[in-house]
Amino acid sequence: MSGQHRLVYDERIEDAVNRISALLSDSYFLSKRAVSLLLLQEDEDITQLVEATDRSSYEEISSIVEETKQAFDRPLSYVIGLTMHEDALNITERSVTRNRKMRRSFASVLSDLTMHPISGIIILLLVLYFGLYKFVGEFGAGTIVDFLEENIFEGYINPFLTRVFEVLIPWRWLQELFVHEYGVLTLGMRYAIAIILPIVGTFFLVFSIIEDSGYLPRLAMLVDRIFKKIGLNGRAVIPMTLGFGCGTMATIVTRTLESKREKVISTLLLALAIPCSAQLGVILAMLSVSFRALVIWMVFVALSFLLVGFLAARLYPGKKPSFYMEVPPLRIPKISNVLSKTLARMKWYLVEVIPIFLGASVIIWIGNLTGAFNLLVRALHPVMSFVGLPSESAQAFIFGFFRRDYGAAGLYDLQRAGILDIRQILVASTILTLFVPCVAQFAVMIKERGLKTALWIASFVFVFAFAAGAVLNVVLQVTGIL
Amino acid sequence: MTMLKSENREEVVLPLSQLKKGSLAEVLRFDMTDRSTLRKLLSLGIVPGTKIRVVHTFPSYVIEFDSSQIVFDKTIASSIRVRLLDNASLEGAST
Amino acid sequence: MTGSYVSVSNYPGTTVEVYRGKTRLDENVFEVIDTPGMYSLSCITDEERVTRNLLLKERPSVVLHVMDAKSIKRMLPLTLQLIEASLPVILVLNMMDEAEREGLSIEVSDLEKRLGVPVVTTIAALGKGIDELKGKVSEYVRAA
Repeated sequence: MSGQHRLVYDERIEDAVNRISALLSDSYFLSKRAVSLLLLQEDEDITQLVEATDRSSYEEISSIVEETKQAFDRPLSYVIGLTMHEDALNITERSVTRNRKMRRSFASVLSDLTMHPISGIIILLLVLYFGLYKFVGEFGAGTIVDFLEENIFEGYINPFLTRVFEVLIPWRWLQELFVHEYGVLTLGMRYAIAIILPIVGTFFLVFSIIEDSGYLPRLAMLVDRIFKKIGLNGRAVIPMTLGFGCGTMATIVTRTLESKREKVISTLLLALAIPCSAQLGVILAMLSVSFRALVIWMVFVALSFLLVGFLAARLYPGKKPSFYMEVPPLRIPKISNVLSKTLARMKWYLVEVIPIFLGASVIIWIGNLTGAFNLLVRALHPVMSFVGLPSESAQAFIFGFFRRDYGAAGLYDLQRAGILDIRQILVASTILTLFVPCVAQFAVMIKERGLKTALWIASFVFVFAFAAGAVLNVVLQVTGIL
Repeated sequence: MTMLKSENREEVVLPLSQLKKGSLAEVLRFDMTDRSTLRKLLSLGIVPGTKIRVVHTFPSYVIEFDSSQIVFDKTIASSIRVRLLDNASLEGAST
Repeated sequence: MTGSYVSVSNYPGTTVEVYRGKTRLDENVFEVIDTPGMYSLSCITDEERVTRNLLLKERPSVVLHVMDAKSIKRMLPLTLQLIEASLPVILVLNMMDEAEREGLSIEVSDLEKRLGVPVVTTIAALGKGIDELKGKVSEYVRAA
C-alpha cells in the first residue's frame, strides 16, 4: 500500500538514521530505518544483532549513536518515544473524539473499592475465602476428590486393574509396578486423576475467573509495598498467586518479571513457601482436625516467606524494581473464555506434569524393589528424630522429593493409621510445605534459571525446611501451644 | 483578558506524589535519568501535556487519563512533575 | 481467529508463550501466531522480547496489531513503529463496544487515510467484525 504514514523526527536524529541506514546490510526483516532507530535507542538485543551481522561497519555505527546521544540532554529513547506519542496524538486528534464524560458505573465504584487499603483487603479476604477455601478446598479437594477416590477408583477401577494384572502377570514383584500399594496405575494414576486433577482444575477455574475479571492488577497495587520489602514488586503477585495452583506453571510465568533478580527471588519463594494446590488440598485435610494447628501452619509458612524474601532481597544485590502497570476495567468474565483457558491449563498440566509424575512412580517402584528406599529411610532417621518425627515419616519426605502431593498423601496415610500426633502432623506438614519443589517444578527451574541457580535454591530449601521444622517443634514443645 | 487570567492563576508545579486523591493535573516533565523508567512511562502513554486525575494515593498511586487507569509506586510518582489544575475538587463526586 | 485458541485476556500477565494455530481464508491456509502483549518495539520484558524475536525471525504475511480501542491514543505509537519497520500491519481496534459506551467515536476511514494501513473495528468477544477482518487480511495478502 502506498502513502503509508511516515514519522519525522528531530533533524539530528533523521540525519543519524540516514547515516546508519547506509551502513546496514539487507539482512534484517525490519526496515533499515526501524533498525537504526532501535540502535539509537540503545536497544540491547538489536545492538547485539547488528554487532554480529554487520561487523565491519559496527564501529562506525556505534560512533554515530554515541555522537547523536551527546547532542541531546535526554536519553534518545525518550526523545524518539516522545515524537512518536506526539505524532499519535496528532493523528488521533481528528479521527478520535469523545462525546461525553465518563459516567461512574457500578464497575468503577467496585474498582475503587478493590484498590482502597481497607475495603481492598476485605475484598481480598472474601475472594480467598470463597474462591480458594470454599470452592477449591471444600468442593474441589473435598467433594470431587472423595467421589472420584472412593467411588470410582477404590470402588471400580483399582479392584478391576488389580485383578487384570494378577491374571496377566504371574510375578508379584512385576505386578507391583502397575498395581498394589505403589503401582503406577493404582497409585500414580489414582493420585493424578482422582486427587490432583480436581484440585488443580478447580483452582485453574477460579484463577481464570480472577484473571479475566481484571482483579490481578488491583491485587498487585495492594501488595506492592510489601513485595518491595522482599525484593519484588506488585507485578510478582501474578506468578505467586498462580503458584498456589501449580508451582511449575508459576515458575514459567516469572518470565513476566523484569530483572533477573526478581526472577530468581520469586523462583526461590515459589519453591520454598508457596504450596501448590495439590499439596494444599491434602495438608488442609490433615490439619482440619485442629483449627489451631491450621492457623499456626499458615502463620509459620507466611513468616518463612517474608523472612526468606527479606533476606534474599538483602543478600542478592541489584536495582530496586519499580512498579507500574495498567489497570484494566473490572469486567464480568465471559464463561466461554474462562472455560477455554481452564481447559487449556488443565491440558497443559496433564501433558507436561502427569508423565513426570508417572515416571516418578516408576522410580519409587524401583526404589522399593531394590531396597534403596529402606536404606534411605534408615539414613534419614537422625534427621527425623532431629525434628521430632517417627522414622516412618521419612518415607513421606522421600516421596515428597518426587512429588509434593505424594509426600502429603503419605503423611495423610500415617495420620489415619494413628502413627502421628497432632504436633507431629503440624511439624511434618510445615516441613513438607517448605520442602523442595516437585520434580516437574525442579526441571522447569533448571530450564528457566539454569542448573547452578536451581541447585543452589534446592539445597537452600532443603536445609531451611528441616531447620525451620526443628525450630517449630521446639517452640511447640516449650510453649505447649499444641 | 488573557493577562488577567495569568495573573490570577498561580502556577503550582509539584511532584505527582504530593497530589491529593481526586486532584486534576497536567504532566509537565520527568525528573529521572533512568532510561528504562522513562521508557516505561512513555510506553504507558504518560507524556508531557497529559491531563491526569489522581484516583488513589495509597498503597500505590493510581491515575486516570484517557479513560484508562495506570498504577505505579511512589518512586515513579515523585519523579513526575505536574501542574496542578484543580485540587481534589472531584473528590466525593460519586453518585 | 482460528477458533482453536484465542487469548482474550484482560491482562497480559500470564500469556508468556506463543500460541500457534491454522486457519483457512479463501484458498490459503494461514498459520496464526498469537503472541504475548507488547507496548513498544524497544522491549522491556521477556514476553515483549518473545514477540519481537518472532517479528525478526519469521516473515509474517500480515501483522495484526490488536488493541483495546479505548486506549488508541496510548497504543498507536506501536502501530507507527510497526509501519516504520515496513511490516504489513493491519490495525485492529477491539472492544469497540466498551469504547462506544464511554462515548468514544473513531472515524475509521480517516484513520486509515492518515496511517496508510487498513483499520478494522471488532468486538472479538461477540464475534463482531471478524468477517470484515478476514476480508481485509485476504485483500492485503493478495495485494502483496
